[in-house]
Amino acid sequence: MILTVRAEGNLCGAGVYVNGKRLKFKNTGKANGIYGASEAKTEVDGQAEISVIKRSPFGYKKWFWRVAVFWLSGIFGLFTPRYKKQVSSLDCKFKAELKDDSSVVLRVNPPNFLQQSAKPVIAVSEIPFEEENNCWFNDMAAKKRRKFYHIFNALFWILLAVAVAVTFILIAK
Amino acid sequence: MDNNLSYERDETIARAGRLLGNLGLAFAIFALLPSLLHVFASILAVVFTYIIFFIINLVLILITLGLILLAGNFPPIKYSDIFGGTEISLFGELSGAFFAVVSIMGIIACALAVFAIIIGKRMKGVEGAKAAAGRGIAAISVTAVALVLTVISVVMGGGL
Repeated sequence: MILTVRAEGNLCGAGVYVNGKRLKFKNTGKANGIYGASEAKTEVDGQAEISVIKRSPFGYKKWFWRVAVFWLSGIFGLFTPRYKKQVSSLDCKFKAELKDDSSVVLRVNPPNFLQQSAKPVIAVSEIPFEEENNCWFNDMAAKKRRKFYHIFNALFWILLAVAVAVTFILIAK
Repeated sequence: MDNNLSYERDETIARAGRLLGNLGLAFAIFALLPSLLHVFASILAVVFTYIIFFIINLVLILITLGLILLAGNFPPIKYSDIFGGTEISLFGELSGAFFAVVSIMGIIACALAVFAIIIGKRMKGVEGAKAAAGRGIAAISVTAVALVLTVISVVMGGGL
């Protein structure tokens, strides 16, 4: 059976997995009046577990080593890809029993524009599905780690500039 | 594998791709800078060598020809002897050094860019994968511009 997952609008950087397999979305242009629609198809036998996940790199298990390696290999943070300010994590899981080729439409609401009552991921489908998780949560630990990283990076470059300046002054003398 | 772990792995690979793209772009810019400088230097060289020296040499040729005519015989005269071969060979040596720098930087930039593009294409659907491929393409484009500029400047500067 083939499950078609359509995403309406931006997925906010979230990854969509069906039975642990990452979906590769292809742009389909405009759908239902929303720009940036995309679609992905996957083969499923019977049960489908759809997960929509987004996490901050500072919220990973071995975050320190990953961040340190990227900082060092990016020549002390100079060429390291920027870390986004938003550290909210998304954890969303749906379970569905498929009897035929089906489709699911997903729409992700970013946390900044989310109202109290609204859900982060709105899923619409002709098949009945069970919702296990559906929430944005603020990762406070990741927020602190991100702050620490930026302070450390700034301090390093200030100290380096001071060291270079002092060396030049000493050489000039 | 747990979906969270898969997401972490995919996101880390895409981030690595972006890092490679950034580094590739940096190397490409490093390759572009000397060739840009060299183009300016070559333009100046052309202006000074070929225009100013041309005027001076023209006067010298006229004087030489006048002296030959006056003396009544025609000794063999090489074109390069009259048109200041020293200046041209000096710029030729500089061209070689610049060409070597641009080539090494360009090769490194292209290698990094190719990895970034491969990661970008394979990690389709992951945040930052598109950016990785884009940076890789940008790095290759900048390197190509640098190489074209170097070839132009080498030709203008008198050849290798």
